[in-house]
Parts: sequence; C-alpha cells; structure tokens
Amino acid sequence: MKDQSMIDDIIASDPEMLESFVKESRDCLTLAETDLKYLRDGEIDTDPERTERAFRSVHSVKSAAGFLGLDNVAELALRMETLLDNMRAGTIPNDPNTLALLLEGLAMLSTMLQDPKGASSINTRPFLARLSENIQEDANGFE
Amino acid sequence: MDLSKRILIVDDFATMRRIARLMLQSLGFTNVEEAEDGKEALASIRNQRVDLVLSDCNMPNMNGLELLSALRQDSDLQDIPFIVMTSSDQKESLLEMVKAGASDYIEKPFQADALKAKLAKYLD
Repeated sequence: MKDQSMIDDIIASDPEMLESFVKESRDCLTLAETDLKYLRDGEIDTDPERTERAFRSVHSVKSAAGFLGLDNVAELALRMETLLDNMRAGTIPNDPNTLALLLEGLAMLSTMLQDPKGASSINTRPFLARLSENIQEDANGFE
Repeated sequence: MDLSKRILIVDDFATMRRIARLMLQSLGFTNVEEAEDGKEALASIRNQRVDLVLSDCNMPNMNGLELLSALRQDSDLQDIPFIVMTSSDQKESLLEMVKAGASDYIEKPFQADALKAKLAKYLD
C-alpha cells in the first residue's frame, strides 16, 4: 500500500515538482510520438533504437507518476511500456495496428497531463482493455 | 548511519532525480550528487569517488547494467555499493544486474523509510 502522506510531503516541499513532471513528461511523449510515427510511416523493423527510446520515455513517465500518486497515469503508461517491451523483444510486431494503438495511448497520456490531479476521473478502462487484447492477440499470432 | 557519505543518483528523468534527492535530503543526507546517465556517472565517480550509487536501469548512452559492469571491472571502484532502482515488471533486467554484481535493489515507487533501510546496510 502506498504511503500517500509521504508523497504529498514531497510535493509540498517542492511546489514546482508537479509542473516540472508535466513539462518533462510532455517532452518525453513528444519524442516517443515522433519515434512511433517514424516507425509507422517507414519500413517495419528498420530502427530498433526508435522502439527503445519510446520504451524509455514511457517508462520514465510511469516511474515518476507512481511516486507522485498519479495512479491513472502510471497504470496507462505501465501497459504501454509492456507493449513496447514486447515490441523491442520481438514477441509483438511493430505493425500499423500496434503503432496506432500506442499513438492513441500517447495522446491519452497527453490529455491526462493537462490536469494530472484530475486525471483520476478519466475512465481509461476501455482503452486498457484494448491494449490487453492487442497484446494477447498479437502474442498468439506472431512467430 | 553516516549522513555525510557521498551518494550519486543516476537517472535520465530529471523529475525522478529530484524525487530521490528530496528523499535523501529528508533523511538527512547532505552530500548528494546527480548524473543523467551511466556515462556521466562514470566520469563523475572517476573524478571524485562516491560512497554509494543509486541507479536506474534504462538510460541512454550508458545504461545501469553497463555502468555497474564498468565499476565492477575497475579495481579502484569495484567495491562501491550499487543499489538498483527497479520496477516490479523489470525482473529480467534486475536479474542481469544482480548477476553483474549489484549490491541491492529497491522497487519504485518506494518510500523514504524503505530507502533508509537499504542505505543503512551500506553506509554504516
């Protein structure tokens, strides 16, 4: 169980923490979007570093969001990180369907970051379910 | 625990370094340094030795595993305690780090008390 009082104390001791997190996360998501669009618009499997960088970006957002108690943001980023991890391991292809789903996820994360404290009211369940279905379908169908 | 010990936080995400620094300061540590990847960390340590490294795994240029391996292969630096900041979904990376000689690990998001308990094992 997370100690929310400890997290609140950290934010309180540094009023710019949340603002800094949002700005840095936006930069990361923009980089990830550029990389995923490159993969979507180019040849499949041509640049593993693009997938690796997108993975690192989403991973960073997930980790910091977890510390700051932004559970909805952290959970969505975690699922996307898993999909990207599978992609870089080659167990899921970086095909147009997967990339479109990831780009949709990045857009949702960006929306959530517009009001990170209010992000807990956004219903991410339908999209998380689609992510999970996609992982399972692709993992079963890809050699 | 000696609160004057020099601790190096290594993470490419500035907010994460900021959180870790605040936690360490809240525990009383006054000598906290930061590096944004393994390459910068290695240069910093070679310039001035640290008493403990608190490092992420996934970083550009030189990741946590590469940093750890470089330290363990250096006869002057191989004994520096190295704590990995990991996630519950990074079991494979963590296993690699342990095999490469990581002293310990702490799962993100962690609390200051949990961090204090880990540090106390290496900074007496």
